[in-house]
Parts: sequence; structure tokens; C-alpha cells
Amino acid sequence: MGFFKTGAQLVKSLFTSPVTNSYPSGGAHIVDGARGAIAIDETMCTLCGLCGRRCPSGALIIKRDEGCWLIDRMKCITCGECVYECPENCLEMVKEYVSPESSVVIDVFNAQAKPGSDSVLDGIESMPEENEISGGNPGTGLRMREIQRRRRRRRGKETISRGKKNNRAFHRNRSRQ
Amino acid sequence: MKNSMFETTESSAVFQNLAEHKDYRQLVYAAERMYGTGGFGNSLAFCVAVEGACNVIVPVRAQYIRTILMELSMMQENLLRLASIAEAIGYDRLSMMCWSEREYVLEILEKLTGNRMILSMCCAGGVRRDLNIKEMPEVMDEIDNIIIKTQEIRKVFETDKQVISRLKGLGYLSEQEAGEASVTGPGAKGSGIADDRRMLGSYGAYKYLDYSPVVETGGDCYARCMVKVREVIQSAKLVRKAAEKMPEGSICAQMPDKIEGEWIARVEQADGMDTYYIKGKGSAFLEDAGIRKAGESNEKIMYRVVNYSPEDESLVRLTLGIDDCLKER
Repeated sequence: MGFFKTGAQLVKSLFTSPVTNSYPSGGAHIVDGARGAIAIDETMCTLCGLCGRRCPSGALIIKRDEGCWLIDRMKCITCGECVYECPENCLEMVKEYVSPESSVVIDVFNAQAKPGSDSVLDGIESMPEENEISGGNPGTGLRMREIQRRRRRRRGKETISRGKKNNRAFHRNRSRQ
Repeated sequence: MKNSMFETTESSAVFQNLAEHKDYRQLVYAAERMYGTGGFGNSLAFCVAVEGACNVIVPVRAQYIRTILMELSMMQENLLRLASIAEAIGYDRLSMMCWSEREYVLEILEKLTGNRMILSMCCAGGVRRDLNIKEMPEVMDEIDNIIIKTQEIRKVFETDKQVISRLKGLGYLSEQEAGEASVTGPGAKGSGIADDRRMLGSYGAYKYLDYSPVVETGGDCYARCMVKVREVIQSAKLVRKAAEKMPEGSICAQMPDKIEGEWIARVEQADGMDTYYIKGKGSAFLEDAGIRKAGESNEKIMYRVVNYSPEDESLVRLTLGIDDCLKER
């Protein structure tokens, strides 16, 4: 009879743990080879632009004049196409994922950057000026707040508050370097 | 796309819009994300269509890996349908048993590819990464456990009076009607027609694995449910066989930069046969593309199904493989 079969399962399940992993108390359960985010070794990047042309969602922007490689973290679908296509093998898929944000997140990496390159963010459609932008990954990379500050000053807008010392996000990004 | 040869269905229109701006390598990822649970099957179908248009032969090892991932994907979809059917009957315990089995299948997929449903493993010409399941004993043991537990679920479906009285006789579709309407998937197999796209051998390694479809002769919802349960067990056994027989070799063939010609790919999914059509124009971009999902084809046979009341219509649709998300409002 069906009830006794499932009844035995029912009693057994009183004493065993659930099948699903408990999160966040049990911790995140990330396997090796999970598709978390794209990382780049910018010393090997030649700015050929092949990854940007192959990206299905248009998350990669390569600026040869400024010598920068930009990735829009919120547009990236972690498909891995750029990793396979890169002729220099400087891209890698790492298992640490990008945490959810409510604003645009663009990471900038200097691959042969020229000094004083303020115009790195100009002309990128996904970048409204008022949104907060997080700093680059731990390691090298231009800090987005520096660039935003220089742009605002250049265009004669109201000056940024001098209270840098109270600005928690600034210090958090700075300490990440 | 203007002047498309393919009849515009709901799913087709979205894909055609994307195909105007993206080349064939990027469309693989778009096809994968078109539907919620059937990720790998859709990217596989698109890749088969592109390879057919270019006359590219996929290496044998890649065919085996595609077979393994396709069968695992079908297992989790079939278990999802069974859980929905059990819930619609009102048998929550059985529904939860199916959901928990599905968790084990998704964990296997995560160990093999890094993700649970959107695998991004298929590419035009083969697969992206190599898998060696023979050297993963925990995965092989897990598959054996899944076979044992699904046999228990099958016993419940076969002997439980609640399930039998609710499903037997409901939504009868005769063999002749099913044959005339060219229905595919559990609708055909539940009515006695041994019809499955995997028998053709045009994709995957099924011709090396002695595949033959599961058939029931009842023609009602109960028979179609039994088809789904037996297919889960059959898929698990196919995965084990393929993992043991997999030969050495390369995993991806060289694809040309330009697509010329047209091709129709027919791939078996849990709900039935999916049709993918592409037409190239001598560049990496496609001139025409179209999708017909199994649910949209199977929708057309609802008027031939008899012996159900309006309250049971959603249950009948679930067993036939008609996905209500694709229904036009």
C-alpha cells in the first residue's frame, strides 16, 4: 500500500537532515570550477579587443587610447566566452562571485595606461554619473571615485564635500589596495 | 526578422530579435537562457543546427559528454514535472520526494560543470570543458543511489490507490489520434507510439549506447506519468553506461567563421521534440532563425484528448508536456 511506503520515508525523514544546504548558517557551498567572475592579468593584455567583440552581453569595453580594459560586472553573464577567445590567455574565471549591487559596477584595469587619463569613463552608455561606483578589484586598478571626482571638477559642477575623512566608502575602497 | 520562413511563435519572436544583433557564437548563450529549466537542451539544439549547416563533424568524445549532460538535464526536468503532477493531485509527500531527488541531480551537475542549470558547456563544434566521470567515484555512487530511490518513487506510482484512482482514465488519447497529430514526447510514448528523436542518431552518442524508447499503452495520464518515471531511471542508466564507454580524443572541432546554408535540428527534451531552424548568409550573423518548443507543438492536440473535466485540464496539460508559461493570453 502506498501509504506505508511513504510513511516509512516520512518517519525516516524525521531523523535525517534536509536535502538542501542551509544558507547562510551553513555557509556558501561553492565548488571548484564554479563560474563566479572574470579576472584579468593586465600585464599580459595587449588590448586587441577580441574579448569585447565576442562578449554576448557587451560587458567588456576596451579603450585603446587610454590603455584600459573595463568590465561591467552587472552585465557580465559569466559565460566564459572571453576566457576561451583571449589569444594571450590573460583572462580567468574565478569562483569568487560578485555580490549583488543596486547600481552600476565597472572595474577598470590599466593595461599600458597613460598618465592623467581622466576620460576613461566617457561615452560608456551604462554609466549614469550620479550612481555610486565601487572601486577596482583588490590589486591594481584605477579607483572609480578618483575619476568621478576629477570629472566633476573639470566640468565645473559643485565641489565634492571636503569631508573625505568621513567618507566611509572612500576609505573602504582605499584600504582594499 | 523580416520575411522569416519560420512561423512566428512567441519564443521564436524573441530569438529572432536577438539574432539580428548577435553572431552565432553569442547566440548559443542566448538560446541557453531562453527557458528556465531546459538550459542545456536548448544550447545543444542550436549547436546541432549550426554544425549541420556547416557540415562540421563533432568528435566522438564530445558526443559522449553532450549525451551525459543532456540526460542529466532531462532527469531533473522529468522529476520537476512529476513533482508538479503529484502536487496537483494533492499528494504532497510524493511531490517532496521528487523535489529532493532533483536536488541530488542538480548537485551532480554542479560538481561536473560548476553550475546547476545554466551550464554553458555546449559550443558550436563540441563542448567547452572536458569531463572524466569514471574517475569521480562519488558521482557514480550518487547516480546509483538516485536509481534506487527513483525505483521507490516508481513503486509508489504503481501501487498507490490515491494516484491510480486520480490519474487512470483521465485525458485519454488514442494511438490513432496521437499518430495523426504527430504528437511527440510523453503524449506519444504513453499511447503506444515508440517515437523519440534520440533514435535517429543525428546528435549525441545514442547509437553507441543501444537506446530504445520507453513505451506504455494506456493512453491516459497515468500511462504518461509512468513514462516519465521510467525515463528518469533510463536516463540514469544511460549516464552510467556513457561514462564507462567514453573514448579518448578531442572535445571540440574547428568551426568556420562564416555560416552558409540552412538546417533544421530536432532534439528530444522532456516535453517532446524541440525544433531549431537557422539559415546563414555567408557571415557570422544569421539571416533567419526560429524556435518551436515542444509545448507549442503539443498544444495543438488538446482538442483530440477526451475524458477530462474543465477542473482537470491543467493536470492533463502537465502530463502531456504542454508548458503553460508559453500559453498566449
